[in-house]
Amino acid sequence: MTSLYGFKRSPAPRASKIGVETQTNKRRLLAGDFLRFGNHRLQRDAMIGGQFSRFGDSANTSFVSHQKQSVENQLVPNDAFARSLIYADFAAETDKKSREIDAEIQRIDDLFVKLNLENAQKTLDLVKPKPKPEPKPKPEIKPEAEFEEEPEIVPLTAEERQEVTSFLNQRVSSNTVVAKAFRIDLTFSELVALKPGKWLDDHVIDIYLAAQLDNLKQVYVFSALFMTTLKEFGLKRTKKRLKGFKNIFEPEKLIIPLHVHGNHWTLAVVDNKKKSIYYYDSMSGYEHQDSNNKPTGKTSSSIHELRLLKEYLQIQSEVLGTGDSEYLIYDRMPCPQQHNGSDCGVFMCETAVRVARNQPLTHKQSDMPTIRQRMALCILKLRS
Amino acid sequence: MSDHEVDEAANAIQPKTESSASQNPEEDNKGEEMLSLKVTDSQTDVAFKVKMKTPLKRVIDAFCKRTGKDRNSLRFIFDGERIHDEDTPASIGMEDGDFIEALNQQTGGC
Repeated sequence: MTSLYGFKRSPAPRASKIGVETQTNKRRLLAGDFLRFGNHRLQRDAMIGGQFSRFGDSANTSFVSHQKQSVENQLVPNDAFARSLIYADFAAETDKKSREIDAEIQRIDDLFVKLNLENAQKTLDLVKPKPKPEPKPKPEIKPEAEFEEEPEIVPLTAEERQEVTSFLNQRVSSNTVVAKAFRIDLTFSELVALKPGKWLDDHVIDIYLAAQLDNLKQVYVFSALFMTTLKEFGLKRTKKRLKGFKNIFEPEKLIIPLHVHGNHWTLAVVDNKKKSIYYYDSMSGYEHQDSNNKPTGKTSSSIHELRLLKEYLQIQSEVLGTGDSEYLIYDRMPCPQQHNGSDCGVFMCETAVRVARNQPLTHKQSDMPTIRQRMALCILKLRS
Repeated sequence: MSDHEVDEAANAIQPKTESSASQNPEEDNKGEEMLSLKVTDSQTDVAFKVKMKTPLKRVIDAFCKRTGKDRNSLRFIFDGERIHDEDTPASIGMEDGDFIEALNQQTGGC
């Protein structure tokens, strides 16, 4: 049996006890008082909504007693069934409402707990900053990851070593041309500079750098004599000099070997993307020594050459009309240092090749004999 | 640079040009262009008159003879690039009045 509002009435068995004659009263009640009941419901709902928290259950009780009276006055006062019906309805209604309110409170509680948990989590995150810095260094490492893998300096095989040794020790006159490549005729006297302890000259450097970097499109290698030419003959003929040149602002990097103080090879790299001139000196900070190992009082600052290079780039950009030509000079780039007075050319070549290929500069003094042999092998291969 | 030097330089290169003198008239008839070049080593300038297709080796050898320097210790540069023995003024795009720059061999170690 369902009640007026569709609730299951708990004291259901009472209907059978009351008997048939009460059915009419019940019907009257159902038909006649539906509207009034509806009104009372609204009234009670308003009370529950607005004053429930203040009055608590007393509001309901007073209302129920009021209702009880009015029902008793209007309907059959002694009809226990009708009374019970109304009570049951109200009880069910109140029960439902309070359950709804309980649910609401529960929901708010849950929400509150959830919010608190979230806040706590946030606070924990703030207090625990250690996990965050760990991912952070990764983007900082990434610029380094731009570097290609570090090249391994592999010692020559016994066969290769044999080949190089015989190449460097062949019995020919010093003016014999031993290799022809990249418009350079390399004589034997220049080649033997690759033996340990000897000084490299411009031919060896040019031929080696050309052989190593000729296939890189984004890199243009200048002749080792280029800056010396600028120094000796000045910039006055630069415009004339340019006409045979390709656009030096197209490649990403320009590799420019520098010959400084008349006895030292260093490297300048022009980065056209970053508008920078980088200067690598394998003897930065050291005083130069003459042939008797006495300091000459000259330290490796080649700012004059770098300014000249900057000026040259300026004039070049004016001639070519490429606009922005303001280059920044970084004249003390960290790079591996030599520990003797003979390996600067080798250091310079290795640095140039690695910078051009975007490899880390990790070579060191102990690698030099191997690199010298590798250079000889490279030139040896050009010959055939 | 004096005119005297020019004459001397011209004389230095003269025998070689004369050696091919028998063919020269034909070439001259074709109207082959002569151009004057200067070789400079920052101390002296030496002027030469050459044909467009004369190998520059001749000019370089003449310069070395004139200055008494070893060919292998010198580097000759035009437009910032090395001159190879087999180059000619035509092959590297030289014009009248151009300079060839001579540098000493560059070595370095310390």
